[in-house]
Amino acid sequence: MKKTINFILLLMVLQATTAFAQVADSIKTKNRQMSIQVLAGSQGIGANFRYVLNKNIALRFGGSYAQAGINDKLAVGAFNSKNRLSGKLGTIHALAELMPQKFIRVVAGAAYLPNARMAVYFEPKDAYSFEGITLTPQEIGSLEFQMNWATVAPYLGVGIGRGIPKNRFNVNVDLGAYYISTPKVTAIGTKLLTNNDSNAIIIQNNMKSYRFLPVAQLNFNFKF
Amino acid sequence: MKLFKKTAIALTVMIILLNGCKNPARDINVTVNTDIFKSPMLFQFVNAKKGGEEPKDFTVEIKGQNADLVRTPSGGKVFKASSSLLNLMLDRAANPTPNNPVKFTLIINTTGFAPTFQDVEITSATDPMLYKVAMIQYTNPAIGSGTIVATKAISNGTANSELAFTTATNADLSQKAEITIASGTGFLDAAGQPIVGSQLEARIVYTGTATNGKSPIATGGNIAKNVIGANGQPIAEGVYFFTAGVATIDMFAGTKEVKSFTKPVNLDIEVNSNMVNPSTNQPIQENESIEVWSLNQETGQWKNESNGRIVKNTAGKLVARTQITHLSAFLFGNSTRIVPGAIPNSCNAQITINRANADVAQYFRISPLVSNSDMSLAVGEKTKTFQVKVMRFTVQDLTATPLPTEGSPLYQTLTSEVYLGLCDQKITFTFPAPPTNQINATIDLMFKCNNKDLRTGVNAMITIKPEGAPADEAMVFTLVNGKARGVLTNGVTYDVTVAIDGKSYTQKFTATKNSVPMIPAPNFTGAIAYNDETNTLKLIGLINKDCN
Repeated sequence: MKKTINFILLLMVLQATTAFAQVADSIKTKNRQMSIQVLAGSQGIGANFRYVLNKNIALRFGGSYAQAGINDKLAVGAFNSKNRLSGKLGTIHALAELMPQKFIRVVAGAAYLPNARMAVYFEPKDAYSFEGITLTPQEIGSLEFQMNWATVAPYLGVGIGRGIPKNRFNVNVDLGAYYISTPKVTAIGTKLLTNNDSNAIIIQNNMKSYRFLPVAQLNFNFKF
Repeated sequence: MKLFKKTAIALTVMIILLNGCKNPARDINVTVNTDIFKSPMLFQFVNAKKGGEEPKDFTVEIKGQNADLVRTPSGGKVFKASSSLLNLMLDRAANPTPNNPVKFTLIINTTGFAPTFQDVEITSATDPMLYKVAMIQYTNPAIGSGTIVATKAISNGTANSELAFTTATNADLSQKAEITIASGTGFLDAAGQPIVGSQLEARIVYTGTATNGKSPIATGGNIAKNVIGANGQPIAEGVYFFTAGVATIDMFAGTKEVKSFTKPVNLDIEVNSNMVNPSTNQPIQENESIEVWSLNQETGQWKNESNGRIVKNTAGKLVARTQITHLSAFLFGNSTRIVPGAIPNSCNAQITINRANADVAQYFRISPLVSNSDMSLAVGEKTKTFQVKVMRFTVQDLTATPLPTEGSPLYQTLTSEVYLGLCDQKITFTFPAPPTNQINATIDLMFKCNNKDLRTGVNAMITIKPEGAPADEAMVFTLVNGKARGVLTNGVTYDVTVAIDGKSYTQKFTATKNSVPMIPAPNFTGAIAYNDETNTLKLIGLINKDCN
């Protein structure tokens, strides 16, 4: 359902920008340059509005959203388990571009991250035995580690390709990274897995050095 | 769209995994709680003579009505005490209540100590229980006890002359027990077969009225729940013994234990001439009958054998006399059936408990046999007086034991003076103020399997005692999934003992307001972290063990 809505929105944006471009053509030489950008990449799918201030500086405002999950690909301790790794990333960003040359842009700014979280969920498939005790998977319960990042992250990167299309449409690339906080990790266990808070601290320590969220995206630009 | 999504996922996962080059799940050990059992119990085995050598490591048998429900904390059914401690639990299927208690008997046979029995009655699935089991050492008997360990010659498994074994008297006991075996008596094993041997070793403990007047207490206590009456039927509610004396007799011929004789054997015990016969309310008299009970040393069950008789021996002392054909512990006395909630032959007394620190609510157990024996003081109550029912006709002291309570600094048992009669007495127990330099303590103790990738919190009762202090002055902490809290004294060095499944894990640390690693000990590592804001010392420990 979400994919369908996203696709319809994309079509509407494309149609709107095409119509707008036709009107703008007639007065293009006198207006500042603007474009709508549809992006796709490591941040998921999103859109930006790009506004050129002068031949060296432009501004970009927009957002993106990504959501994904992988089932049964993790090995968690001694457990043969059903597991799921899932993540969500939503950004609302404001960026400034410095254009030292036509095809290279230095991009800097910041993003608000209303959704920046990852979760690892697992439940055992097999019985667990400890000395004279045997526990069924139903008795053991489930365990989820939730990782949440803080809501603001600065950005720095490089854009390759013309920022505003020469004609109606072009494609360019952004490469960069957000500088993110150390995530806060919480363990949520049920039944006999309620005693794993110390593992949340271990994960949090393991992710201390994970401070950069790389960005690699393709931008489809529609001038108007 | 699918291709794009897969590409995005692959990119994201790759980025996450490569960034920082560290697996987020590295070093994780999932912890599974194993607190599925009920009714945690700790049995602390102590020498009945304070200061004597403690019984350390031995196997314990569990018998009785609900013995099948008893488990070690890890679910095992082999019970071994280690470092004088035994942790037990009840199976998850158990459902003990005051109206439907779980009952069983501990039977302990270990070198150097008389066979010991402890009846246990559990009425709660959650309340931790602490039992201090006093064991009589042959070479250092408790106050009110005398012993003999002696060997006499026999011929081919038969007494070729009259043999007499007499327990020794001492400063705390002027009475003795004597067993006389007639010439020609043969000795039989548990199967009733003659034992062939040339030496007969007898080990006898006699518990009588002490020189300070204190009445004798049967092995396992004067309250017996595992009992067969004179009609051969179980007495479900149990009985209370008015004990005149108890003789515990074990004999060995050749390499086998003697269980019975081919002829009756005389057993005499000297008794306190001032002892009151509850049937007559008068001191016992010559020619009165007296009940004789025997203890089945395989099952811990008391059986009403027959009546003995009070006679005078050649020295003119009153003795209780009977003839026996088998060996056991023999109790001479009278009995009365226990009425739940009532004290037999009771009268009124008053007990006051004083404590300096009232930050937590706490229960105190008063024993032996007092009505409302678990007395509670609420938060803020530093003193409380209880009107109780106590036994007539017994000369005894009372003990007050603080039950293990989180956050409480109290752990020592107090003992009153010996009262010639408890009726109308006002007895006060004043627990000393804890040292001023106290530190809050929390414990987080885990088992880690050496041979499996498994980790679980320790579910057991552990002891922490000041270095050099006697074992029965240890504080008891009840760990649930490895966690407990209590109070320690700054600057004191403590010994920690965890005894589970016949093995002890020990550690030593000094309570200070600093964070330090624990001194490395075999299979027991960890660290100590101090939080200045909360004045709390956190003991984080990891015990490595081989697991099944």
